Amino acid sequence: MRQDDLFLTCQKAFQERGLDLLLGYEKSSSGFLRPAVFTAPESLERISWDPSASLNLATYLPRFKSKKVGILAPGCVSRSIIILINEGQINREQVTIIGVPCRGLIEKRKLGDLEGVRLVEFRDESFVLEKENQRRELNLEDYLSESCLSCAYPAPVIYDYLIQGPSREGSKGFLEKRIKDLTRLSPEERLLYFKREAEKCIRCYACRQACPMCYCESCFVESSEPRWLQAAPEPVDNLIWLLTRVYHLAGRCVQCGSCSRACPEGVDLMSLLAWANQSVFELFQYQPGLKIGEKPALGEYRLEDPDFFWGGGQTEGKKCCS
Amino acid sequence: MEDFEPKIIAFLCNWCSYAGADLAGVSRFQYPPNVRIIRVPCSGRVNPLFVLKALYEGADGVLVSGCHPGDCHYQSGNYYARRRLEVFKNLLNFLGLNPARFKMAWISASEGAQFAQLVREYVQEVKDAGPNLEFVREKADLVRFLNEAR
Amino acid sequence: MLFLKLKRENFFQALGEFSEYALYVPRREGERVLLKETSLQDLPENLYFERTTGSAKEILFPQEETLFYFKRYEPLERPKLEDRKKLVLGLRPCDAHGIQVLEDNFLNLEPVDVYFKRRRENTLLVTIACSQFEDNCFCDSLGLGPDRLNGADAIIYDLREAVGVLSRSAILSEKLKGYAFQFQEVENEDQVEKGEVPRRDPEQLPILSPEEYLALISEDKLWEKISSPCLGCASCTYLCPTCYCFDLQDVTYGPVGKRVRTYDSCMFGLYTLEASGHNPRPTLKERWRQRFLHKFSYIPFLEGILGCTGCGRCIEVCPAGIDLREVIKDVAKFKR
Repeated sequence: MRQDDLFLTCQKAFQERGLDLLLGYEKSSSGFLRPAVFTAPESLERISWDPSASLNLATYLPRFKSKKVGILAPGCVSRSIIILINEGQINREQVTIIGVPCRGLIEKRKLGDLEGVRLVEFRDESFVLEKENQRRELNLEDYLSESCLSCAYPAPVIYDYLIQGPSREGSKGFLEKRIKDLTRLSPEERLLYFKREAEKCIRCYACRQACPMCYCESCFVESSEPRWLQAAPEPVDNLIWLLTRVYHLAGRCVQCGSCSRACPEGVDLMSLLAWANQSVFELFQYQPGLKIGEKPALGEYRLEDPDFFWGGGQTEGKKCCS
Repeated sequence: MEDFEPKIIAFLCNWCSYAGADLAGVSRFQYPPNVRIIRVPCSGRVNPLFVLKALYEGADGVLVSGCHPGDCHYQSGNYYARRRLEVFKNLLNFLGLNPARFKMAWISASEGAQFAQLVREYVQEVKDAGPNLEFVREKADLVRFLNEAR
Repeated sequence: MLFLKLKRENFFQALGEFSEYALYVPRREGERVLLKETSLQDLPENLYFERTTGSAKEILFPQEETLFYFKRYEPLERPKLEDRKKLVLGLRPCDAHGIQVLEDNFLNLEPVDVYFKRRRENTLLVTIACSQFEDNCFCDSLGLGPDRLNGADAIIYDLREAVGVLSRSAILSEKLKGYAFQFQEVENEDQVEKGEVPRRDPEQLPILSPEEYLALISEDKLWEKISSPCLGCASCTYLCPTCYCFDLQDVTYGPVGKRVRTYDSCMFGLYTLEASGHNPRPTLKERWRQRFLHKFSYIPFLEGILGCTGCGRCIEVCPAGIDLREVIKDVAKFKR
């Protein structure tokens, strides 16, 4: 992908669509990208896109309900936008999607100590870091986020403008290897694993804020009547937090990995999310964010849905007599 | 563990399952007394957080029961409940929680005998699983404080 | 203050005098570095410790703390105070600066926070002058430094075959005297031998006076621009050495209960939400403005020290990539 293509297209979008602002990324002082809000076409000279981006930009969209917003969107972000439209959070007309190709996003945690490190450039299959005038070239594939390694839709699925460039090959999308490893454990071992992950959680809610799908004005953790969990980071309370957030995202999560990269403590969120999505896919053949106009999976039903209830099975025509 | 008596919380829909449980009582069907019933208007009212909260507060098992699909008093409530709770159950299984902790059922208002059967089966399942120690809130310090004040 | 020089082996022997203190040092656990209790034998010889992921405030002001128990119809149970003695070794000067800010808040105002006070009285905080810089740390850009005593009870300097200890704790000084080959009273910490502390040519960040910052409070465009990428999570505040906001929650069990204190964050929408539904800080613009002014205007005005330690944890951890150093520069540029 060429940076000047990006710049020119974004400028064009600004003018042709009369945008109020554009959500994109800019380089920080260390060379890694960070989210930026561009309010004027002149400021677009800073706009950039490469595998060092981290946050799903669609998380900012509900803030700008009444504005005309442009947004850079690889596959996952474009799907998040479709879900937001389907759930009535934004209008299709107000958002201008500038599709960008995606080779995957780096997991910064995998890079270790970043003191004094500067990101120099990305090449076809690698990237270059520099520290104290020493450079080293790293293989891109070894440092990608887990969500990206199993991403099913790297290229944008919907767009108003499209920047040319190579994207990753799509994979199945449910973190197969990680899930397989976990299902091989006994339930007790798995519970222990997730409890240990929950103990790391400091309840900062960075995961929730980084997720485009978590747009509730009043989150269930803030409910005091009834109070579902304590504010204190006790292990079981943390588990309730993680489990419920994942459940609220079942059939709505595009597995962008934004939450996982946002977490300051490195909690394993992707396994639970992948499993929830896989469940919805296997039970109801539903994948979120692929078609405008679809309802969320847990917001609809079919008469022939699989039934695993005690006393269940297909009960078409069986009437209750009372 | 032989004298472990589980505490089971049951969310029963008003129109079918609750009536079915009532019929079981009126018909004098015998079933263990371990179930504490909470009446809800429809199985679709059940928020999976109810299940988590019940376990968190010390329940050893949670039962959710509603009208058979097609018979919901509100037409479609139990269809939503079916989707929701099946996804939720899947998630709990993946988490590693003992599957005996959460059970879902359809009981109609005329199925008194089946309700008794369900409870007999489920209580035994939970007895075999043992008390819920893995998903309960930490309250040892409060229990201690309560007992020492006496 | 007493400045002592001890041979390395004697320093470790001296630590044996603190057997009634539980020894806490930073230890890596997977992705994080936490303060963990350890034994004397497990201390590294070179006295090098990684910097903790969270700040050292957690040892005096933990994320979860039970304040007291209560029972229906009975008078309140007296405060449950932490009596365990702790010796915390291996913190950094930035942690110690944070402790100073916390001390000012919890000890120098009425009513005194008895929980923090008891913990502080029972804890000896010993920092070690930095031997390397951390990702994004910038204490030297703020006029602070990786070799300052700040709010610690003592700081250790690497003098090759010996260690230098600058102590302002009577307990530490007394116990270490017996093992030192040299010691003297000093007035100023800059008079002592500090060994090789890493230096770089830091960009000096433009810090304005509290009044100059306050004058920018109604510059909406400035705060909007700064806060626009902010997500409103609490990552920065929970890890910040000088943040001390907390929430109180009662947890009950039948007729008894306890009051629990946990961290709270000014970045949460709920933080200033009033019962009427009105929120004086309705958007992240107001919340970010408050956070910045609190660190750079209100704390310096009230306490005479900067409310930021330059540790850089907020920069490292922010999921939206907000860089406080750039914010400081942007604000100064805006001043007319």
